[in-house]
Amino acid sequence: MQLIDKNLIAKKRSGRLTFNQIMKWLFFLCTMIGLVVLITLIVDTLSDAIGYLNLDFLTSFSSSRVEDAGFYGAIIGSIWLMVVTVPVAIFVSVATALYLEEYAPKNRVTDFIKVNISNLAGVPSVVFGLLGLAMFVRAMAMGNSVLAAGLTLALMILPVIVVSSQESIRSVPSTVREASIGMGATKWQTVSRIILPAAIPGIITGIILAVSRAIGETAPLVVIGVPTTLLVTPDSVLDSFQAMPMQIYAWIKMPQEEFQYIAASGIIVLLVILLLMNSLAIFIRNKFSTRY
Amino acid sequence: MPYREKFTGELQSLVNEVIDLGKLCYDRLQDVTKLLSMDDIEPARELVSGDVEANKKEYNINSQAVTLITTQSPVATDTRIIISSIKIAYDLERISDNISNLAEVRKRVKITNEKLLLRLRTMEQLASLMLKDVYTAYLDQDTSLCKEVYERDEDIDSLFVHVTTSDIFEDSDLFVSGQSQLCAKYLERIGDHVKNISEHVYFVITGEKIEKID
Amino acid sequence: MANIKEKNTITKPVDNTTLEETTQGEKKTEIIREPIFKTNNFNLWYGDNHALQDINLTFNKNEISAIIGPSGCGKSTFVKSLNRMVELVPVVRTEGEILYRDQDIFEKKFTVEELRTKVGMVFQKPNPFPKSIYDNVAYGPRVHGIRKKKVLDEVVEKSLCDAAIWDEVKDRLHENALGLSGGQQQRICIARALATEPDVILMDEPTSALDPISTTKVEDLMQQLKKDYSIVVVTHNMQQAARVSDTTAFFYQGYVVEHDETKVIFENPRDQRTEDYVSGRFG
Repeated sequence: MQLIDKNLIAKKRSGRLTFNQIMKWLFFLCTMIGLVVLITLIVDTLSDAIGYLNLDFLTSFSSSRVEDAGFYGAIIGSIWLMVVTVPVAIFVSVATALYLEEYAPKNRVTDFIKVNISNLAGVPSVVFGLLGLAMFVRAMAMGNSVLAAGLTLALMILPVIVVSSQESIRSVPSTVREASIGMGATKWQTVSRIILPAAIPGIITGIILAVSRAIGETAPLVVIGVPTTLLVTPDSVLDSFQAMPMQIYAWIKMPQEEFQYIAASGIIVLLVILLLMNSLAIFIRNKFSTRY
Repeated sequence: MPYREKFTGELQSLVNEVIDLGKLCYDRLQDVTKLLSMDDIEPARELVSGDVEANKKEYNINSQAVTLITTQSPVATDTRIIISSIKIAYDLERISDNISNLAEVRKRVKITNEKLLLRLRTMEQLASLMLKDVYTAYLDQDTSLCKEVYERDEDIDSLFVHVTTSDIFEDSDLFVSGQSQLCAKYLERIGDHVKNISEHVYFVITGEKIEKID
Repeated sequence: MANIKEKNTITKPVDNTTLEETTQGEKKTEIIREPIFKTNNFNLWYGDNHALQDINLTFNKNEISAIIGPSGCGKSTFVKSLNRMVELVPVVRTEGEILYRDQDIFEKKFTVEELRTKVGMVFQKPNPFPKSIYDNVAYGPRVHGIRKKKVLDEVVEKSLCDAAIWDEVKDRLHENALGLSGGQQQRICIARALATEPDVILMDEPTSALDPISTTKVEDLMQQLKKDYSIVVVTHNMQQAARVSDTTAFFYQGYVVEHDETKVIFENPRDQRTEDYVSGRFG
């Protein structure tokens, strides 16, 4: 008894193989689109920036005169910003993820919270800016300080890190968890010695994505009222500050054509700093990386 | 049962082989004592040569049993069936040997003592009936019948004692009486082997040793 | 030929020792037999599913107790109840008592951490932590607060020796345990369980993920460990239960059909279902 027509199979084979090839090239082309756009962007920006990118640019404050305009204040300001945002965001979101995955009872309330955190990741950044303005700047009277902006950005990237940390914690095999608990370890010992080290690569990936987003984010800073021209760097988290994306935004708004090139230089610096941060994160991730 | 069909089938065929061997022995045992007084020596010769068949069957049973043990990891009743098959086959083969030995006696001497022949005939029939009953006991998984067969060996034993100690041989010559005693001995041995078989069957059914009724 | 000769020369002394052993074994079963675990009408539900029904079992000290039964019969659930790992499932509800050395493990004052220190567990799949061999074995003592390097070193060595894997790993204690073979990983997990110096070791199908050679090693190891520990082993492999255990309990649909000496279960079980199961005729 033959249910399968062997001739038909042979006839269809070449068609299947061709389609296989077509799909492969289609996917390759799509990948290329992204790559080409990125390269064009970098080349274009770099060609604009090349004449203005020098040590002076990195060490002078902003100025209304093209020849004096520098990025120093913005770089330092952004670093201050990250010093507030990153630790707060990491601590709160990893703790949230751990609670949701390891401690919270599995019930509807927990599910509701999880869904809402995922939804929060999709909220536009400007809305977070408004929240920051109302809560930190006004209600808590922090003004347009590093702390206010940093906390706002931390809130903004929180859901991204929470979601990716949750995924990562969930991917730690339950057998390993059971092994630890089965030996009489407490929940905290299991979490701190087994789960977190194993989940760290995934958590860090989430952090890279989130922090990259935070450092380049403009909208919330605009809402909070971060100044574009400031001739001092902050001394404490309560001082006002400049930020790289804000500075670039301000330069682009300027009428003089040269400021476009200055802005391009700023973009290059921002990209380099982003790249450095990502490399560091990837380095840390590989160091902790484990395979099951 | 849908489980382990191959194994169950092979186990059954092993049991059937043992039953075949048992039937062969039973057939060979029929009227063996009548040969002793026959004029014709030919049936005795035939009976002796029939032992080859029994030996072959015993060998087959053993090799099948070994294959089942090594390939099928039997446990519980299955193990008991296989081990007991080997043992029962051994006892049946010994029964067959003893039947041949009886026939061999006829090749050397013809027994004419009617009284003795009657005793031997009774022993043969007792043994034959025991063999038949132990087979029934296996088919019906009847432990009490097993015990009964086990006990009935005593009858053959006492007949044997009677044959060897009575004055039946007074007027026979020494050689004939010696050969006659051998015949009684062979039949007594057959009884012992059937008794052993009843023990094995009892073990297959219950997993325990037969307890003697006091 | 040479082989056969060797074998023959070996056979005779072996016969003698087995004779001695059995006489000793009989003495043992008469004298000791101190119960280590005893369950009294233990019931367990997963939500509405009555997974374990009126379990009354006793496991003795320095014995290997095997639990066999078809999938879903509750044997894993039961063994996980013995160290309360089963409570990791949120909807579990229990009734009745489990006595560990005459102490109810569900009593408030008996914390799960203490229980699990005394009742170690080895799992179905080798599950070493993604750490070095040393850190894996030292994990238990460390979580219980032992910090001294000298003590840890000794514990690690002793546990690895007891788990019969010291010689294989002594030169690479600081390499990742995940780099070992499955059988080695499982013995590392056993060493890890031994490191807390437990009283009882629960094994949930410890060899189901291993090849035959590794399985044999683990089984040999169990025989060694029996001298100092009590072992409860769940197994799908009936031949393994027959080979290694002293007593065997047959679980079926959440209750114990038969619990007896392994010899009895495999030679002449009382219940027809046990007979059918051990001879592979249902399951």
